[in-house]
Amino acid sequence: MATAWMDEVFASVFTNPFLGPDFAPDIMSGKATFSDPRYIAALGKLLELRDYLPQGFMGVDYATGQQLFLSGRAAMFVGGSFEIANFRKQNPKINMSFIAPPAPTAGAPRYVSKFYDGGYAVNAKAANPKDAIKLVRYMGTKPFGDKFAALLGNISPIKGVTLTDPMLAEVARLNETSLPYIMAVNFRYETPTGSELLQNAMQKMMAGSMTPAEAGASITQGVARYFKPFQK
Amino acid sequence: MTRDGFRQATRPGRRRALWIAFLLAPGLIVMGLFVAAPLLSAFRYAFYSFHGLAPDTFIGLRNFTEVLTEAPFAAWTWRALEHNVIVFLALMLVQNGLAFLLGYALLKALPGHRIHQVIVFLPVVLSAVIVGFLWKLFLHPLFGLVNAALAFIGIQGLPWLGNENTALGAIIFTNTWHWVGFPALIFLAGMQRISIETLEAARIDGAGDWVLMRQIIWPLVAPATTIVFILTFIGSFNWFELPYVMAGLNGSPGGATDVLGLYFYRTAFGNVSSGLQDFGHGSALAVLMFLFIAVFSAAALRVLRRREIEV
Repeated sequence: MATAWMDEVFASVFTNPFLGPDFAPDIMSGKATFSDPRYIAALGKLLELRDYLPQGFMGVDYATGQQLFLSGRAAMFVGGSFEIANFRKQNPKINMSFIAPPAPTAGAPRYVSKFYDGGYAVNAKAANPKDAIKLVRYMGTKPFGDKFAALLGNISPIKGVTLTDPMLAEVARLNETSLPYIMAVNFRYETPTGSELLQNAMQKMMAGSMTPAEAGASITQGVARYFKPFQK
Repeated sequence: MTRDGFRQATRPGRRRALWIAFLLAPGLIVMGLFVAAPLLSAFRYAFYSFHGLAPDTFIGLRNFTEVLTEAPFAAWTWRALEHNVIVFLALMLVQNGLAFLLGYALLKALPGHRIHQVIVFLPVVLSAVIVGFLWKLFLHPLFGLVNAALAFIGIQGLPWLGNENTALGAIIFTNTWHWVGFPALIFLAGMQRISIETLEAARIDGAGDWVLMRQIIWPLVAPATTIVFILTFIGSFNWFELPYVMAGLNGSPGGATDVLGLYFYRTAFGNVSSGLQDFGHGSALAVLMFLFIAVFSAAALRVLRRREIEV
C-alpha cells in the first residue's frame, strides 16, 4: 500500500464484483457519481480486507509485496496477468494459480478487471509509412498474438490466439466476465486523473484517516473539474 | 597623450578584456543554455495550456490561479508547501542544532576527534538515492533493522514510511543522518576562526560550556549560520531525492510526504502509474517555487548579514 499504484489495483480488483456491470455506464452517462451508494459500499468492503493484509501493510511497497509472494511469505498477491511471466522468471520453481476476486454472494459473477495498457500506432509523418502500416497490421494477426502470448507470457487481445500455458488459458477464461479499471480506462486523459484521485483517497482510507464516503466525494469533486456529466 | 601613447595604454586594456571574456564565455554559455534558457522557457510555458508536449493556447495567469485557488490543485499545493515549511523548520532545529553541537564537540578536540570528524562527514559523500534506499530498508515494517531492534527490547515497531503521522518525520530523520556532517563542518570552520584569546578570556572570566556556546561562539559564528540557513532553506524547498526514493512520486501515504518538488515533477512530467504530463500547471508550480525561494532567500540573506559580527 506504500506504492500508490497498488492501491488502485487493490480498489479496482475488489470493488468491481460489488459494483457490477451497470456502474461504469452509469458513471459515464452521469447517472451516478463516485458518491453513489454502490461505490461507497464497495469501498467499505475494502476495509474488511485489511485483516488479511500483512502486518504494517501501509508501509509495504509494490516490490516488497511481490517478494513476499515470491518467497512464500504471502499466500496471495493482488495483481494482474502482467505479473505471471515476471514471477516465473524470478522464481522458476513457483507453483501458483490465478483466481478471480470474491463475489458478493455465492454463485454471483466473479468479475475480473481489465485495462488497455498500450498499443501500436503509426506516426502520420513516418519516413516509411507503408512498411510501418504493414508491421502494425501484422501485429493484429493471430500468428503475432500466438508469439506474443508464448514469448511474453501474457494475454493477447487478438481473438482466437492459442494459449498453451494453462494459467494464461485460465486468465483468458476469467476475462470473459470482466469489467474495466474505470479510472485507468476512462479518467486518465485530464488532470487531476481519476487514478491520482483514487490512489490518494485509497491510501488515506486504508490508513483510516478518510471514510469511504469522503473518498468517493473527493474523487467526484476532482473529476468534476473536466468531466461534464458531473458538472450538473 | 600622443596617438601612440594612447594605443599603448588601450591595447593591454583591450587584450585584458578579451582575455576575461574568453575565460567567462564557457561558464556563461553553459549557464545560459542549461540554467537561464530552461528558466525562461518555464516562465513562458506557465502562461500556456498544453496538448501533449506542445504549448497550445496563451491563457494568461490561469495556470497560476488554478494551482493556487482551485480544487483539488490548491489543496495539494498548500499541503506540499506546508510540508516544505515543516521540513525546513525541522532541519533547522534538529539537523543544524545537532550540527552546531557536533561542531562544538569537534572544536574541543576531545580524544578521537579526528576519526569522529570523518565519521560525521562520511554520509554526506553518499548519494541521496543510496541513503534513501538504505533507510527505506532499515525502516521496513516486516524485515527492517529499526523494527527488529525495537522488537529486541520489547517495543512494537510501526510502518514508519506507511503511517501518515510518521512518514515525513522518518524522511526528515534520514535527511538529518545524511547531511548533519556538512553544517557541522561549516560551524566547526566558523568556530575555528574565533581567536583563541577571546575563548581563553571567556574561560578566565568563568564561562562554562553553555555560556561560552551561547554568548561567545553563537554570535561569532554568524557568517556560518547565514550560510547554513540559506543552504537549508534552498535545500528544504527544493527537497526531492529522498522523498522520491523513500515515498514515491505521490508523496505516499496519501500525500503525507508530498512536497513541492514531488508535486511539481509529477504534474509536469507525469507519474507513470497515475498521471499524464501537464507542462502548463507544472511550469506554473516551478515558477512559483523559483520566486518563493529567490525572494525569501534574498530577504533572509539581508536580515542575517546584518547580525553578522566581524571576528
